[in-house]
Amino acid sequence: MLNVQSLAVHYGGIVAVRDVSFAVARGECVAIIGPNGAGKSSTLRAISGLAPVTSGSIEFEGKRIDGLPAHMIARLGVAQVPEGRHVFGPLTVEDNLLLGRSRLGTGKPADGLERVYSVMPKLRDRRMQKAGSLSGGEQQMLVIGRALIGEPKILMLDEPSMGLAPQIVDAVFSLLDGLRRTGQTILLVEQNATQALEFADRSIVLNVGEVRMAGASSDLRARSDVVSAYLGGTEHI
Amino acid sequence: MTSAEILQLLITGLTVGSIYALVGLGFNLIFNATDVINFAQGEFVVLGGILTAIAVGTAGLPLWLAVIVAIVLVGALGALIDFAAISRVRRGSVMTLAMITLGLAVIVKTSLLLWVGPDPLYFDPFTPGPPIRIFGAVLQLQAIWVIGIGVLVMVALKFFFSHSRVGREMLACAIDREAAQLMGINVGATVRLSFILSGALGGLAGVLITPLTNATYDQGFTLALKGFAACALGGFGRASSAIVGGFALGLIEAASVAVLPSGLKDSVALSVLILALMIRPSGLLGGREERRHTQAM
Repeated sequence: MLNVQSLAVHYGGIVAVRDVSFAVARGECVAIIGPNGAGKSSTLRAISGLAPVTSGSIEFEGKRIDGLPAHMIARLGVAQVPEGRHVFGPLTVEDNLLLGRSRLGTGKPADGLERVYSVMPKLRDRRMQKAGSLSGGEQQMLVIGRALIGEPKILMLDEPSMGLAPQIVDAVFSLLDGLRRTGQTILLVEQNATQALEFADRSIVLNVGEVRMAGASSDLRARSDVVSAYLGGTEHI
Repeated sequence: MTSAEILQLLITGLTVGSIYALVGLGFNLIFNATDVINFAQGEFVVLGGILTAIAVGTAGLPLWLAVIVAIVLVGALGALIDFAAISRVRRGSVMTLAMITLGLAVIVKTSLLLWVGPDPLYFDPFTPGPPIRIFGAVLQLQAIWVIGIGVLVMVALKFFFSHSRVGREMLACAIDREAAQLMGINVGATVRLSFILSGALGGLAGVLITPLTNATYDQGFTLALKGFAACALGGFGRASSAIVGGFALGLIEAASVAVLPSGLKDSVALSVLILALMIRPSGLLGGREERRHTQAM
């Protein structure tokens, strides 16, 4: 479904991604793990069109998407839940969700809202509140809901656990688990390697802009010492 | 001061205030979309008046059609400014972009001078008839049009931002460009629309006020200054601020004429601007960062 070949991303003179190749098949859950500055976020941002692709190619459903503007990539069914949540703070929860299907998704807005509310009942209780007044965990749920309401073919999440309390992280991952069971294709970027390796079918370890290891998450868990070394010693599995 | 004089002052203040509020709303639209202060905002107003006067006088169009043509043309000029200049340098600093709008303002002004000359242009009020006298104060029929349509447009804008899909998208782009793009929203097109709306609002202000004040090629700068003062007074970035600031400035100016020579009217507006920036740089309604990007509220 998604095929990234020899991707490189430079910002000015700075190399963020040197040479990254991987593929995600339909219905698969893939995690990209690695330490800070490994190029994980830049890889996602290149796929969604927010970061410039210096070289290499990105194909989605057999069609080249690198070079397309971000809003066109989104309309093809590639959703990115950005790092740091990025809710539309002054707008209500419901307006945030409606914006998620402003240009995406099919059917009536009310049905889309109902679908999201049934998975995230807390958002229903808070639908008329300003999104900026929600807790961090609720905001994370909201941005995931805002991406889901657009019925994405692939859901990409950038550090969904960042800055959240452990039990909230568990709630986010159990939500993602539920999505996986409905057949949702997911590409996850995480620093929290433990959670990511438990969740994903396959994982890719990035370091200094290159793929160091890749394989079934269970295999990587079995080689946790090597993975830890690439994660820079501060991360333990 | 007699009660008739106070009433007169209110009428004048609200009439002029509506215009300042419309100019301020136009400023806000472009500011929220691009972070740029559009110095050509006053030229939009002048063009609205002059184009209507020409369409009525020279081309002989009926007034209603002339008004529509003028507003559409000024909106199109807004789109052209974004297409030809602003969108080309979106990576430029806000200061660069502001300088570009200043240059465009000069181009429009000098072109108008060459085209229609230095004399004021004029067309008749929307409805003919003598002014109404209420409690000794004089109310021009055109002033009713100015205040009425002004308020109507403000209400319509509020509804547009809070209840329409495109309005919500404009807010989303103003709040967080990247997040909006990830939702499939075409940010470039949304910015373009802000310029069109801003131009149309300015053009409308010119159409409304010209029967009362005439339109001269060089009025733009003063008008822009007043609209800017209205925004600064209320707090930049918020629609209600521009409206509150516009009416406040209109009333202050009208009151100043009662006690000071009327030639000092513009100086009063400037003094208010300077005072507002000194005492409450964030505006009457609060901090810029906090209030910014919430046009709907």
